[in-house]
Amino acid sequence: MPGTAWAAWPERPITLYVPWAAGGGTDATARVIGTLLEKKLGQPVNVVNRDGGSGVVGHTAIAQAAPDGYTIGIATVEIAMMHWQGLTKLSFADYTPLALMNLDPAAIQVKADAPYKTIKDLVADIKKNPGKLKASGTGQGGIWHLALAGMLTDLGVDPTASPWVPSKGAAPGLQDLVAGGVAIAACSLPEARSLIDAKRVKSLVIMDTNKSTLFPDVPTLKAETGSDWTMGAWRGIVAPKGLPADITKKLIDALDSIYKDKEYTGFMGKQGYGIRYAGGDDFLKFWQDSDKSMGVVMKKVGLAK
Amino acid sequence: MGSVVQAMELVMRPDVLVAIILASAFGLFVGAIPGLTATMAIALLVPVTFFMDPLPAIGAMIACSAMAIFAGDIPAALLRIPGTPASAAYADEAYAMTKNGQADLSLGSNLLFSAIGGLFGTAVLIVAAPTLAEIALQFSSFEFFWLCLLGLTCGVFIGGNNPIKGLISLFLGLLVACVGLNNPAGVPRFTFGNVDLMGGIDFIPAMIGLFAISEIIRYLISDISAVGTPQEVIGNLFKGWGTMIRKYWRQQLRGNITGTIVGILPGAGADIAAWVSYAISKRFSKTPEKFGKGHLEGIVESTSSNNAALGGAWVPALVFGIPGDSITAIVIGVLFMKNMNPGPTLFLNHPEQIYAVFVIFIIANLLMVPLGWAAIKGSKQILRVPRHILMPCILMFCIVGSFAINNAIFGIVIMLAFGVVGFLMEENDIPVAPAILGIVLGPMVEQAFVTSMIKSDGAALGFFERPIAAGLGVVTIFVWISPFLVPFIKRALRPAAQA
Amino acid sequence: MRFNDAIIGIILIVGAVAVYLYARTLPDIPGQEYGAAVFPMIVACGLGLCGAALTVSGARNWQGAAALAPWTAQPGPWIRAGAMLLAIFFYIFAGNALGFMITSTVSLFALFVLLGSRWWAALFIAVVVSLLIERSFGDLLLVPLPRGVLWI
Repeated sequence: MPGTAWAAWPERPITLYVPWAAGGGTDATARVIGTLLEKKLGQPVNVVNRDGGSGVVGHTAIAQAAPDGYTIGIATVEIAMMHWQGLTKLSFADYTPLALMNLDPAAIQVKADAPYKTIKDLVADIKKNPGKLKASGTGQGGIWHLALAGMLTDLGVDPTASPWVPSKGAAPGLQDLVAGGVAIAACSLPEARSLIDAKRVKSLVIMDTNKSTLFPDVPTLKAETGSDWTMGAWRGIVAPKGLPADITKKLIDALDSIYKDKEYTGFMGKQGYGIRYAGGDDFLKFWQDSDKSMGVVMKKVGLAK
Repeated sequence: MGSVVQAMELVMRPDVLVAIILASAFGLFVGAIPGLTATMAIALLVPVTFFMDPLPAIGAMIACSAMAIFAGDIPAALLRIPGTPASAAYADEAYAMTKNGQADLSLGSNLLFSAIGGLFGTAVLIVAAPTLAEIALQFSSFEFFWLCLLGLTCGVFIGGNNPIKGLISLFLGLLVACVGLNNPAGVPRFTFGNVDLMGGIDFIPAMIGLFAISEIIRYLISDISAVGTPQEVIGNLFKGWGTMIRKYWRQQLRGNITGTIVGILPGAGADIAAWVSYAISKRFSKTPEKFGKGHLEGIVESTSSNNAALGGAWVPALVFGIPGDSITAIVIGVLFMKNMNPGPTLFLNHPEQIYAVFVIFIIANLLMVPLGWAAIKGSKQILRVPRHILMPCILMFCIVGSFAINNAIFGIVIMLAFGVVGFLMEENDIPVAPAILGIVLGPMVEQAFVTSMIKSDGAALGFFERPIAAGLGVVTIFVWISPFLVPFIKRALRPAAQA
Repeated sequence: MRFNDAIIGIILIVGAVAVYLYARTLPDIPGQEYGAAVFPMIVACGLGLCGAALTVSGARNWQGAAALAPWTAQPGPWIRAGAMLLAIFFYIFAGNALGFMITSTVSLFALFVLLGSRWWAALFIAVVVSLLIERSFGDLLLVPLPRGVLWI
């Protein structure tokens, strides 16, 4: 369906699907983007939550919508992971990538009074006592599980030496860490923020090329161990496959200006969320890379089918 | 004291008060509509709070959640449709009272004890937040496992006279909770390749089906030309408040304490608090046979409990940024956005802000009495509508409500299926309430059990190794064997008493 | 429609066995003994035991397999309950295409008339109630009700 018929887009309200429940980090990000998108495009943007099945339900709803520019969605890192587990067939090929808007790198937390000063101490202990130090922070095969497993693999340690205790998100995992149920909690720094501030947990390392602006004292994995391993949870705005080129361009332009908007950076900064941008083809490239490295780790840990 | 005065000044500003009143009205509205929960009311407020100052934003959320939890009682009593899951535990009881012509008494007690429960939870939050949060933070999956088992035990007490049928209902609920991807192993169960089933069976459409649709079916198969049971239109709501407080002070206090504790524990909120309190009330009642037929005792205890839980949930949220329930999970995000980062430092560096939050809590619960009165007065008109007009309208509300929870047609399918099943269950004297408890608690029990087994490397002893867990375990086992022990002890004691 | 407890008990036992067998096929967490199968298997055992208990007590009070309620002999209740099912199915299958306003008005009108309202009153109330729901849910609470053919 070429050009002219779509010239007047958008003529009616746009729906923005969120594959997670109302109230979470993805929901908050989507809602702020939705509000700003409404200003840029001059049409209401309705944020609609489609929760369930670790994101499968909502991501499917986005992919199955009509590619007319009136249904878009926020895709999360899970879309690069689920097809390896055989939970869905969907991958980057089923969407029109618009813009990567956020990236929260993984970090490793231990109890504040734990005997480990650096990540090297911790890894050495894991290596010495396989199976003793349990870790938590998300569900089985979730993003933080893969981050830890990938890091251990990269440092030459068997990833099963630190068995994963599945939890329903970072908050229960951190709670279990403080309560003494597990020894390690892997999650992003903003998720651990309150407990770090309360001096109940300490963060040993961040799996990113740059330090976090939220906690600049936390060293990067590269600086501590020389490992090039990085991993983070990302969120990006996508449309169903086959979105007409002119609408794609309009949306990418709008998202690009939102990313530079003070309201967006201010909101994300206050929440402590990391921001990262990649538009159109750059986003696709980023997505493909993420997809590939997830596949490698998941095969190592025995999660991929 | 200086910061208390400062806090009062912060709150007693027109913009804060207007925000509180508007949010209260919104909360009453959303809470009274089936399918829309208090959590969703708060989530809908979030984009609005983007543009507000910190205190009006926080005030709006506190007031909205308190009102929504109370308002859920109104349709529960009038139509047997719990407006929010927190009212499900005593929906049958309250509806039975309405049928007996006692709607004013039941709704009056909902209003009174919701407000008192809310104030109790607030008092605990003010006095002991840091200490209690410290204790809550010591809870690991072992402790949660025992608590979940205690919660499930409630299912047997709430379900009618035949314990076997209560258990069947509970197990059916637990089985429903197994459906989907939401399990510790993250593998799809009972999904048969269906994407909708991967998301699991949401308990809100299930609840609407079990309670409301089954009631509609019962109406449709009855002799509709007959005049329905005469329903006294609500009279004076405040009638008997003094007597109720005196007569039920024990139940009310117990409900307040239970609710606050359940609220403080991370992950469990107002809905579970109400179930537990209802069960406790029946278990320790001198007249348990009256329960389920329109008896005030259980309503008093559980309606106090669910509002007390709201204040309790803020304890770990404010002190450690760990949500006590799904509502505070959203609130924490807003606190960060408004530069009121949760943590012990919030109490040290900005005491006036914390006190202002407390003051708002108190105002919101006091405001509940006049606003709740108006809401009840308004909705009592429902009882004047002829049944043959009312029932189709309820059906449409149920359809939209089941859709709204996840914006999916699949919710309506769930509603229909559970409506038919619920009808058949009640025809055969199998109570539906324990099934809902099973759906709510199932994922928590499984999570706690499986993660505990992983942590203890499969050793059952792990469940007794930690002091709190061991204590809870002993209590649970005692509760289980007490029905068999108590008659034995009584028999052993009787000769001694006679001598 | 009351069944004898023994019949319900047997249905539950069969269901429990099916669940147990299905659960055995579920995979474990890699490297762990306890996985997706444990909990459904425990629940199936519980359900099966309760079913057995019910079968025993039901067999003791055997008064025929099922007792039909008086309403089942009349056509009216079947028609009314069937109409409710139709209304729900109508919404599930036609709601998206026709939109909320049309689907809701048609269903409500039909049910009102079936339950004994006059057609003009039924039409009026059906339109008003549908509008009310559409405005309150769709506009105030931002629930994305299907717009269908009326609002493109």
